[in-house]
Amino acid sequence: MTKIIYRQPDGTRVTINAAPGDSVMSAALAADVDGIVGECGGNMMCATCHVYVEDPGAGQLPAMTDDEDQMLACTDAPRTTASRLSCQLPAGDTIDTMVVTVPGSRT
Amino acid sequence: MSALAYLSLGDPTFRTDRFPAYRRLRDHTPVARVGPDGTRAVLTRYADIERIFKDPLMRVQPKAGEFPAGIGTGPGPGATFHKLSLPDLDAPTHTRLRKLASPAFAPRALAHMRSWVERIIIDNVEALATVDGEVDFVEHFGMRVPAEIACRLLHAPAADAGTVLRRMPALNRLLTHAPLTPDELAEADQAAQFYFDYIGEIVDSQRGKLGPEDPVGALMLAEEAGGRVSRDELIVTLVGFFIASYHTTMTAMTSAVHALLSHPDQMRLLAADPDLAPAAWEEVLRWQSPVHFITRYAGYEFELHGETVAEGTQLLLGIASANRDERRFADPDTFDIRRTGNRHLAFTAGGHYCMGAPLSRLEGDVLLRVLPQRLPAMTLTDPNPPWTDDLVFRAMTALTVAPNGV
Repeated sequence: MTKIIYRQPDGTRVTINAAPGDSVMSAALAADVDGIVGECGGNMMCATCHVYVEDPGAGQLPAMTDDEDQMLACTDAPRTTASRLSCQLPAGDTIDTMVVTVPGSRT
Repeated sequence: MSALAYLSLGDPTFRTDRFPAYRRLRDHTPVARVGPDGTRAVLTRYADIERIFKDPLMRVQPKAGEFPAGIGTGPGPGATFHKLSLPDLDAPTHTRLRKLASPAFAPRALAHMRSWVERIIIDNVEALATVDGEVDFVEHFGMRVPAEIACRLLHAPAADAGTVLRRMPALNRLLTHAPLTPDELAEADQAAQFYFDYIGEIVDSQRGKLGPEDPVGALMLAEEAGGRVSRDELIVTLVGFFIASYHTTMTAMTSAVHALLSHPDQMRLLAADPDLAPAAWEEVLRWQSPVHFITRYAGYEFELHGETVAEGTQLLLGIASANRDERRFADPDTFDIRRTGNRHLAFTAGGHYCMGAPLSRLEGDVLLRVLPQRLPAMTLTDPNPPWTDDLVFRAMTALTVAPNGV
């Protein structure tokens, strides 16, 4: 299990214990976390599951693919070095805790 | 039971209000067979349809890598058009083209579009404001505004809108999954050739002049960056923007006005708080979805509500029904612009999620902010407008209103 902490722009937090096979996006959708929409269902066709990952260089996250890199050019909120598509971040046994911040602006 | 027992276009009750029939399907026959051999199935529940949309193994092509026989087997312009059209493609071609087209409606492009979208909508609202008496909203606004926006989007002269739109029904027949007669195919070929020529000229004349913040410019830059998208693919994608943005927006704008004028309490709420405009637009799309059915093909055999759905089965996904599913939405038949958690399926979901959704939302935001302020006395003068008989594209063909009241 991976503990995923979703931080909202207003400071509130939601914590979810995600099972292997879940992604940060799918766990958020199952729990109705505000700001993560996942319109394309994890097909990397939209950027509505954009999050900022705390400590993105920790080494436990999968490397960013060219496709993800390309879609991150289409985010609503500004892209930073912490930006990832949450559909590409798997929960699993190797990651105990992940903290992500949900961008503030999302239609 | 066959879905045709419920979905009868000849039934006057169904023609005026389809939603009771959809509810019966959801409640009693959530997997309803169509046709004598039962090779097509109608699904009407939100959860089932969302699952199909988001499953990457479900297809838009009848068989993997194959196109409908009706589009012709030769290299005609119609067949070429179909084979390059995003809504008719599966991975991997769809994936490649879709990613290249995505920047067209990304936030940066939308921010640049807002000023001219606002100008077109406000100018046309002002034109309505000059009308003394009644006017057909469909003719004088619903058809006009999306055409002007589509033309501006593609850098086509607004005066050409009629010429461009006239050939669209012929092409649309080719892009749907309905069988085509030889005459219809010939007409579709002519229409496709017209679009290749017309849009091709625009592409050639605009080349080098547009930046990445422009939807057409974004696609052109993708084309120029190492030939990742061909000229034909570029043209077909741009025509796809035109087609997709025109009819659905016309329908949604008309439905928005109809819904608000027939629910004065909701109109008052919107007038008092213009920031409700985005939520009101989402509610219009949920409550009167512009597209009622979308086609997919089962990518593998699966069980659903006790029915075995074979691989290759044509699935008619009833998104208008899903958006009224009481299993997903509380009080689904109530038009409520303050509804929260409104994750409707009007733009579908999954890999084919409507690429133009951000543009639709921009248009809806502008329209629903401006209309209640500028035309606060607008009144519906025909409470029973005529509707099309089309099973897929449900729309009012006229909507008589008095812009300044009666």
